[in-house]
Amino acid sequence: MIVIATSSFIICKGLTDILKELYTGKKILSVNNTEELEKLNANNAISLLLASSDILSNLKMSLFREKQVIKLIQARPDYIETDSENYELLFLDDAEEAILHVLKRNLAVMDKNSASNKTESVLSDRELDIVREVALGKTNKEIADKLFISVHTVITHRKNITRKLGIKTVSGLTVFALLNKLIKMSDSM
Amino acid sequence: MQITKEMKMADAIHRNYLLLPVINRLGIQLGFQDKTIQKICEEHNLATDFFLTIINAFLDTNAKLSKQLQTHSVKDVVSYLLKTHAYYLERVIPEIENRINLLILHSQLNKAEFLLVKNFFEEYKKELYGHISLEEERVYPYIIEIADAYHKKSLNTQLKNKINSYPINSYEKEHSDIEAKLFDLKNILIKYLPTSDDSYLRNRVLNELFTLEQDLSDHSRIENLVLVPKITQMEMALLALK
Repeated sequence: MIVIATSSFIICKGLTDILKELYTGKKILSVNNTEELEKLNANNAISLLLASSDILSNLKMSLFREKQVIKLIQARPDYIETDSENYELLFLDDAEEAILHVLKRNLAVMDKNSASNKTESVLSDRELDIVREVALGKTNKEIADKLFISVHTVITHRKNITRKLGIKTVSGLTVFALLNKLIKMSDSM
Repeated sequence: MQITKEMKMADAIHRNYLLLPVINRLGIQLGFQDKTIQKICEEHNLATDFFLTIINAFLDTNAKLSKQLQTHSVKDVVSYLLKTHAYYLERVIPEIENRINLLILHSQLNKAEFLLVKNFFEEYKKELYGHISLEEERVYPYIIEIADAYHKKSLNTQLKNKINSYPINSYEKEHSDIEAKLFDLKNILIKYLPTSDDSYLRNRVLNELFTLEQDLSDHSRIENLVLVPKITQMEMALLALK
């Protein structure tokens, strides 16, 4: 997924819309602060991160060393310090062409990277747990309580499950669970 | 490329045979010889522009085209949509049921697995019926009422209350779950039902599901891009009346 991390609503919305126009393959999520970003990163594979400098500076860097990161910078400064962190820079004041150029180039790199590790179609054990509970008719809250995770995490899991399986509805998941013997026919009644 | 009135009806069908049910709904049956679209529309007392817009909207999913429909009368559009409903209920759904039953009858797999598919389809069907009756009993009559009031330029209190409590765009999102279920059913058949040598029968079910999906998306495209904006406009104009 692509994640936009900034406290500015308008930048977030703007970037989301531009990315949606350029690219439809991946989900685009947004977070407001460092904590949310770290939480999201713990449960998901982030393929591309666009983050404002304040959020980036608070981040435990080891988490993102391997990732593709674009640093959002308000205005193009008079001089550009050589960035030791190896981020791509996106200057928000730049003209359309320059901004699109940076985004397109990064999307292309991201596509290439994710094509090489396309094994994420199989559900993890945790996701199987969630499918089982959903199929039994449990609510997100009930699942969260039972598995000792947050409702937010349950929702994230469910989104990933839907994406991986290509099944969107609860009754669809129930059929999937029955066909794969995750639950028994008598459970589903 | 767009279909034009000078084109032969037969050529339009050769271009995309999925148009067949669409023209049937508009009252046109096979056996058109070498007549042009215009000629056939005249014979059937059908506005040629309206006919062309409907079939072009079906063939080309770009939104701009559907907007042309906005120039046609609300009643014509609604009457077309009603006919698509009748077509789903009388033809498509029973046909899918037949094909699912055939699949169950001839398959060597465990019956329980197919019953899951059948039950899932039953559930889908119930939802589709519910949606159709909501549209026919509430949404379409409301649309007609708005269009009438708009042309008479008069708004009574009762209609005013309706506009305020259930404006047309409050119905819009109703479609989504029906689409999701159909999508799921396709994937269950394609990906998750265990393999067996009944592919031919499964394909036949899938063919119908894909066709229905395309037809439904045309149906909701016409509603969302044509009716909803048009009625919203009329609602605002009516509320602005003194």
